[in-house]
Amino acid sequence: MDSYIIVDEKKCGLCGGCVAVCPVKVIIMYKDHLKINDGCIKCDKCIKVCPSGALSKNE
Amino acid sequence: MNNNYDVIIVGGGPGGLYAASVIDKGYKVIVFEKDEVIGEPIICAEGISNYILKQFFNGTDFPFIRNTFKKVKIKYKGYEANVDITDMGVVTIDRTKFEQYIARKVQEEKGFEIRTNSFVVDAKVDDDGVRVFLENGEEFFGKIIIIADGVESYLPGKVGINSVCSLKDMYSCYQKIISDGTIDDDVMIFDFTPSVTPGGYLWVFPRGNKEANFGIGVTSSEDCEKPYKLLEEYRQKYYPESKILREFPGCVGVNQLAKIYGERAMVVGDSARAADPITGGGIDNALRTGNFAGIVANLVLKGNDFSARRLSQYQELVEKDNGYSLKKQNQLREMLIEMSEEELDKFFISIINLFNGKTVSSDIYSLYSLKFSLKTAGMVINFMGSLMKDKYLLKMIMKLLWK
Ligand SMILES: Cc1cc2nc3c(=O)[nH]c(=O)nc-3n(C[C@H](O)[C@H](O)[C@H](O)COP(=O)(O)OP(=O)(O)OC[C@H]3O[C@@H](n4cnc5c(N)ncnc54)[C@H](O)[C@@H]3O)c2cc1C
Ligand code: SF4
Ligand code: SF4
Repeated sequence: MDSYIIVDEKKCGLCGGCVAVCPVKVIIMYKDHLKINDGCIKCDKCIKVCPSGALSKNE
Repeated sequence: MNNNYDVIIVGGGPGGLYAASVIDKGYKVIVFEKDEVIGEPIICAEGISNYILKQFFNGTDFPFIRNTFKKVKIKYKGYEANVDITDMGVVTIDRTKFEQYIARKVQEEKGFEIRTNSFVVDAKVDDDGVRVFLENGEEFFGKIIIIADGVESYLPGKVGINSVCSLKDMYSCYQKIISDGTIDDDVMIFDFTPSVTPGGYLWVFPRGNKEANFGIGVTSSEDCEKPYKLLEEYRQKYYPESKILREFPGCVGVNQLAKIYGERAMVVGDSARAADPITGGGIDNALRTGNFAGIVANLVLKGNDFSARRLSQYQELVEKDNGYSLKKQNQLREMLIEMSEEELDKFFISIINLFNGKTVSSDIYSLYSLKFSLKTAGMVINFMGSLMKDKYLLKMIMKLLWK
């Protein structure tokens, strides 16, 4: 199953903002990429916080 | 039993490294850092005051200073104040060199281990100790854990400390390192114009040689354009000829966590949301909280009692510290966010009128020159104290004005 949030890796600067605001902590920031685990509650907070517009909804 | 430690520290930024540097020699301590090299990559505007650095490091001739400022320019809509801050010792540092400087102390003076390329994915606390798991499956054991994993603050939740940051407490930032002939290396600039930077500010912190850390931070709950777009618009308007050397997004959470300790655990720096609520500056408070975590680690290791009750000393020390006035600054931040544009106009134009052409230094500042109500005066000084990274001003105003 595709996740609700998709990451544009070219825009993501691995700043950690989305990880910090995710209320269910499903985003993990590895050294060189983000991973979104199951359990997203579709609150869109990560999209709002992202400074570079790297996150969007998978619609 | 190679993987047994007294203290496990997660995060090799200023907070984690400084905590390690305070722990007594002889204990077995390890710092885990997920990146390959300490001090890289850097997401920071690198502004701090020399006065603060001297509280945490011996000597005066720091090898990581880039540039020292003589003036601060505060901009708001069409207004601006130019304030002499020669005596305040506000500088930009080379964060890479800075972190490597602390790391050397940790390794050479204390003999502790720093393991890079080591991402901690999970941690568990039970009666016997702390267990920490790396991405590659390795497992480590410790008596206590100091969590300094930065803004993402992923690990506190694993040991029962809630660190989810609300949108209104998060500055969403974007920075470009630019090179431009019009940059004046002596002057740091803050622009608070709301249309430019809603619920935050834009900064230009020269690094010397006409290069500057040029960035913007907005409050994440504001409904506005993304920081990367706002910053580029400003660049095209004010620095159209500039060359971009590097650019990156960044985030800073403010409003310190309600609880920064737990059973066998302490949380420091950005992970504890310890940054200054007005400026988002957090290097100083990472050092400050790291210092107290290190002190308390020594105490509990000596006493061999790692209960939350014993570790609560850490939070007490942090909050008793005179320089630590985050709660008041956070109240002010919340007031600023809620102000109407008209109120913001009044607030910033008062500041600009009051400070334009003045010289600010901690000892000569006198309160009675303010013609406002005490509360406004309190807000103004609180605000300026934050901006100038001067905790002395903040302490004074808290004593006098805030109950
Ligand atoms: C754009 C921007 C500009 C800023 N400008 C300033 C400024 O001018 N002045 C100022 O004082 N402050 C500034 N700050 C804030 C400052 O950068 C932070 O407050 C400071 O870095 C906090 O230090 P720290 O040690 O708590 O966290 P960090 O410096 O973030 O260090 C955390 C470390 O932990 C590592 N890590 C994270 N998770 C794990 C894990 N699971 N396993 C292993 N390692 C892990 C990370 O790789 C990182 O190295 C700025 C912040 C931003 C975003
Ligand atoms: S939408 Fe909400 S729950 Fe889903 S990943 Fe983003 S912040 Fe987390
Ligand atoms: S907030 Fe945006 S830039 Fe930052 S780590 Fe998340 S997706 Fe990447």
